[in-house]
Amino acid sequence: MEESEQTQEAPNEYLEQLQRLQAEFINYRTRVEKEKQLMGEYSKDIILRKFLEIRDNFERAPKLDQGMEIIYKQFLDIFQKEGVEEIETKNFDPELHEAIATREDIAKDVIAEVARKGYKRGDRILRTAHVVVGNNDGEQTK
Amino acid sequence: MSKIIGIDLGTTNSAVALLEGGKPTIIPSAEGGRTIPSIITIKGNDIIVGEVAKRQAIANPLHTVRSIKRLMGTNEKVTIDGKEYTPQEISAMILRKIKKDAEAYLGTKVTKAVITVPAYFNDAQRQATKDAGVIAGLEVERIINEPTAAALAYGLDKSEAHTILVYDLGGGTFDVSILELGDGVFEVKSTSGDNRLGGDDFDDVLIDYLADEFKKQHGINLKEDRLAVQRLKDAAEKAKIELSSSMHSSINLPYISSGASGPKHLEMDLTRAKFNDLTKHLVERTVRPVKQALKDANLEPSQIDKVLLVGGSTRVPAVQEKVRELLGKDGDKSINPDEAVAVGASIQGGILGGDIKDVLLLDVTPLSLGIETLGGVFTKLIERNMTIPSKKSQIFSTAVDNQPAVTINVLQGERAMALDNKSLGRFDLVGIPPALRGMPQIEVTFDIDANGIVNVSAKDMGTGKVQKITVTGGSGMNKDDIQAAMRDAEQFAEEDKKKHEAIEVKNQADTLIYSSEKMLSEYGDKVDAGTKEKIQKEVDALKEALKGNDTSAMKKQIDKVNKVVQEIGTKMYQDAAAQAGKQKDGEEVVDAEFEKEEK
Repeated sequence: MEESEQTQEAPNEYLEQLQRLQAEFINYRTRVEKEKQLMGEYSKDIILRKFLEIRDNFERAPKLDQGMEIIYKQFLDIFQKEGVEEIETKNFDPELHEAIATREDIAKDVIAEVARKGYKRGDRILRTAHVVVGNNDGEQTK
Repeated sequence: MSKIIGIDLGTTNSAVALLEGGKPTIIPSAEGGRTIPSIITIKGNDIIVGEVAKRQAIANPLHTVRSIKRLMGTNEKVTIDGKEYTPQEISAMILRKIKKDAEAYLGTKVTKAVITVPAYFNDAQRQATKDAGVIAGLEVERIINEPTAAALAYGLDKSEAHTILVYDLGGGTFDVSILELGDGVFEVKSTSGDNRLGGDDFDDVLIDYLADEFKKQHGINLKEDRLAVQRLKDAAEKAKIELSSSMHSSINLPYISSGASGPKHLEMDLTRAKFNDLTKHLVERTVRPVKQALKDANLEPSQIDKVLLVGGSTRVPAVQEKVRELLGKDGDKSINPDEAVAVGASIQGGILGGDIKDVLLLDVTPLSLGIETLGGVFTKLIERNMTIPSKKSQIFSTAVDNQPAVTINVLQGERAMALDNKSLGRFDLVGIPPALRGMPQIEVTFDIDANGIVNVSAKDMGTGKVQKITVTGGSGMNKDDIQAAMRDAEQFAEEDKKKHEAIEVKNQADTLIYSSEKMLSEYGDKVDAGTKEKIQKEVDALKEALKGNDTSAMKKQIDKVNKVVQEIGTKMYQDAAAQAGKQKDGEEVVDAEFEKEEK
């Protein structure tokens, strides 16, 4: 009796392991499929992110000559075609902005300065905006 | 049954992994990062954890908690908005976020976890960590030591290394642990460290240097301009990362400031040597704890069998050099140092959950398997390190017209040419009906079972005839042989590539001669005698070149033949198109396509 129970147990164990492995594989495959679809977009994001640094520097320049102005426009065109949008910077939202400093003369959670513009592409954040946030909640004077 | 996740609950960053199909996978956070900053922000009823909490830390310093791990096991409390929180409760917030992200990623409920703690954690600290897990809704299956987790990630529980030193230089803490392995159990012999040393210190040193250099050049103190400081910070971190893999890094920050004479730019070339020099004092600070740990364990550096590098800052080459200098051997860094602890925790989870059982441990083929093809080339069907059981088929054909049989030479190894690999066996598939070369379809199938036994079969798709052989894939070679084979493959890689290419060109030339002559004999009447003669002349020249060994000459001649043959091809396409236009027969069109393939 005991012996038969033992032999009974092993196949059940294997079956369970097989089922678990099967389920795991199906879940894995579904996830990989999803990731594969996004992979192309992710790779684009990486390159665009590098280009954003150059864009920042273009914007820092006080004046471009006419030729450079045209090149800059051409450059901006790429971002537009790839659906890159600037992130709004009115009120502080940590999902979109990163606080790098605060200012006591500005109302709490109002963005006072933008140190680095933020950009998104569709619903993905390419990079957050670096902002200086107001920190005056009216209680500071007490 | 619910899976057991492995959590590295770190001071600065945390990470989580899970065993899938016997392999650890790092579970990314909802924000997409492979690690999660161990930072939380509490604002009213909102609890924000990780990357997002980090972004607002400066804006809400009174609502933000960092490095709560330092308080674990103490009675200290954190007060936010007048409410008190225990370190367990704060840690639980991080764990809850990890649990939630893992569930979203895996699409299943997660209820069980293995959590890691530093080896020096006492009972109270371990209990507090366990409590944090419970508060977060996790059944904590086990609390394990971080260095033990690292050792598990490296598979050291099954190795012969007995004494292991784990050098863990993270974002904000440095830990050294010496472990001893006996009967599959790790015992902590000693620990030491510096709980205020980490990657951020390296960044700070670099920021100071950049600011100082700029001041020397332009007389402007960038540190007074918070926007400039932020740019310096980003640039310093980028340069640090770059200097781990290359010898120098250029830092370009145009328009960083403006002086009386207009805009000022920061442009600097930083060498690794300079970076090493700047951070020397930080690397030096790891020396004393290492020596202390050795002393406490009563060991000499030479008695350490294995050194593991854990924590992102061990990517700094000067750190690796220091380890070599201190311990006389290279630290193992083959597993991502940011992830090794979480990976090890997930392996422990797998062991506890019964995922890792001998019966389920799937093996891999240690060496590639394949057959010999035209010109003595080794054609791989099963690449090395493929998980078995596995099956793979490929169609081959004959090399000459009316070839009655093919020989299947089953080979194992990594070299490009058949001769340089080990032959496991051979057999002939005979009785192939007469046909032009390239026409018969021979399907060769490799089928390896879980024990590494390989069934090789060859089937003539035309007649259905099958021949097969059974060989043993792995047992033909012992561990040393396999390693020797790998070494050879590396050593001769360049030479093999050349040989392989030479054979390929030869095969190409041979095929081209064959197809050109076939074309001339079949369709030669469609072109004028002059063209025909020209083609024959070039084909003859190629035959001559084929006798020699000059690959580049052969390539040149192949191009020449291709060019002249194209003339006949173009002519035929035109004819075929004209024909197809006249009569929608289709037969001519098929012919044309066929010729296209032959070229």
